[in-house]
Amino acid sequence: MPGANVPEPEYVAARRVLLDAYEALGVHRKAVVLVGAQAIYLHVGEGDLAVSPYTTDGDLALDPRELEDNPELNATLEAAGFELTIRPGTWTMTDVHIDFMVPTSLGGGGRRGARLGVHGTEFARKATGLEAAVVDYTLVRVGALDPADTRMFDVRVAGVAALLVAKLHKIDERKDTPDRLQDKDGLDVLRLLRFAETAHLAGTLVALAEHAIARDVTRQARGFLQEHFSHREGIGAQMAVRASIGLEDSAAIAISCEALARRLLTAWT
Amino acid sequence: MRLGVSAYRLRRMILPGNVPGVLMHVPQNAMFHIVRNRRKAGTMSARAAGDVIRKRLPRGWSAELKPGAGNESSLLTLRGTGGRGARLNVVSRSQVGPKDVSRLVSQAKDVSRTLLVAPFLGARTRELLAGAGVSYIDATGNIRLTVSEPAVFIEARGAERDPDRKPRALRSLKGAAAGRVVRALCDFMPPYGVRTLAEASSTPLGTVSRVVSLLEEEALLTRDAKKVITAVDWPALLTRWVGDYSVTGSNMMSAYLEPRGLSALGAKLAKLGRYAVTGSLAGPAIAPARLAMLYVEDVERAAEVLELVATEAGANVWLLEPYDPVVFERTQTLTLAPEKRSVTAAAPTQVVADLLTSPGRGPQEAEALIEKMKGTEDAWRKRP
Repeated sequence: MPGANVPEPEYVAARRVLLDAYEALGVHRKAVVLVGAQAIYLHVGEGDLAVSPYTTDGDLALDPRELEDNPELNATLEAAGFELTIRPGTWTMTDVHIDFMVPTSLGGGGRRGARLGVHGTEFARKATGLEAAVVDYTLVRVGALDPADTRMFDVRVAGVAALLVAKLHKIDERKDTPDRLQDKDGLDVLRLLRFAETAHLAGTLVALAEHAIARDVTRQARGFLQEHFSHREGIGAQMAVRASIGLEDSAAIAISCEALARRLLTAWT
Repeated sequence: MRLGVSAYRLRRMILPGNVPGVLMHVPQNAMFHIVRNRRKAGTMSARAAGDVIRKRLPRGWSAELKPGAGNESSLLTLRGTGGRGARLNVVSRSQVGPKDVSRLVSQAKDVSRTLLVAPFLGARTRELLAGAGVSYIDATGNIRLTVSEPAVFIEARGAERDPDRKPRALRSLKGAAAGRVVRALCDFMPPYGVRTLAEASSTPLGTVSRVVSLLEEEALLTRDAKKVITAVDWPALLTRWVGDYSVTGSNMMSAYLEPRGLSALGAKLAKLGRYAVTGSLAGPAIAPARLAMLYVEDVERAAEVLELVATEAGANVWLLEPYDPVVFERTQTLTLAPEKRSVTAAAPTQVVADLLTSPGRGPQEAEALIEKMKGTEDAWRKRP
């Protein structure tokens, strides 16, 4: 697979900034869980889809229950060279964005910004569907892609089940505003479905659907999977098709979504 | 050996309807009588037919042949002891097969008064003729003559096989047997004779000889004065083979989708019984394979074990029920990137034929594989 051994420079930069954020977070590291495309990439790797899982964004779920009061987060990130470019929640360094997101049910009142006590309301924004990520994660030792950068952090990386739940919520939330839909999210769902062993994934989802924090979003996600992926014409399946058009056979992508979603739904009872 | 006519003396019997008649039952060795009536191989004249029938008739009966003028058929008149006669239209054919019977029947003026004369009539042809009520006689002694008025019924068995049947020269390499011989010729390093080749390819000697003769005529192999095969132009032979063989035309192909992508397939192959990877996956690896081709013994079971989705659109796996089990022979072990998993692949010669007849870049991959194989002949060509 081209690029498997020599990462693209964008990847290298994205990883470096992610590590910068981790370095800055210090004692707060235990409160963040890596989600989004970078987390998917850590699980799935390049996979064998012809579409690279390329991303420069770092998405971090923040569990307010794990946050310390000191040091104050905004000041800490600014000191490390990050800038709050989109309020609330998007911190940027050298054109690489790190998005801090708090699961809606843990984010307190307010519309967009998460209420984080001493850390204010602009450090992170609320996002639905991330509840599963603060429950289902594994520790992964993550280093730089640049051999000269020797930093290593034990990063909480959301599990495949939690990542699936989060992606399904993102797709459903944006389904009525097509210009906000990002087709690559459909393909990310397919990546997860292709990678995961069905019975194991279903087992985790069943457990998440019983967990006090993750229960509601996980149960909703089952409906979204059914609605958007378990049919080849579904919104999600077609997003995956559009994201890979010209590089993958459209029918193969759509039917793969359908078959794998159905298998997961059958196992997830 | 010649048996006297008395040996064939026939049981008299009363035909249904109490009509006095004759049943002539002539044992199989009747052909010894009839051979002398054959003027030359492949023909039987109406006159010769008349002679044979005359000898089979009961005492007191007569048979008179009146040759037809121009396009008219000859007439054979049978007369019983009471003086009453029946006229049969004699239809002569140089060759009659089962498929010719219906046309013959539809063209006959009166089926029950038609006598078909041919050098040889096979069992199926005779069965169809009898079913249609057509009387017949062939030069090997197969006779069925049935006339109701005056009543006579003569039946005799001659040869089951056409004694004039020459081994037909082979024109194509279609079929499993030809495929096995081609595979063996390519896979095994000469010299060897046809007997060894027959054994090595589990194919009857006659078939092997015909294939070898055809290939010798087409200069695809060389034999010495002692008829030992000394050289096989295997790249040319494989190219010639795919004129008659194709991966989808000769094997039973079913299209499937591995929804997890081809890289997920390798790990599951071990769960199959006998299988052999062919096509791009077993090719020269000049590009990532987009389609996996697998020979399996039972397609439906394999699809279940491999968790494949049956689909024409978007298929990335072809399961092939092979033209012959030879696809599972002389296999090779290949390592699939990127997981470095060992899989069983069809013999390189089979892979070449399958790639040559594959869609997309298959033919180019086949050429690349042939080039690679030319340099490693000692490794993949074995002694039979």
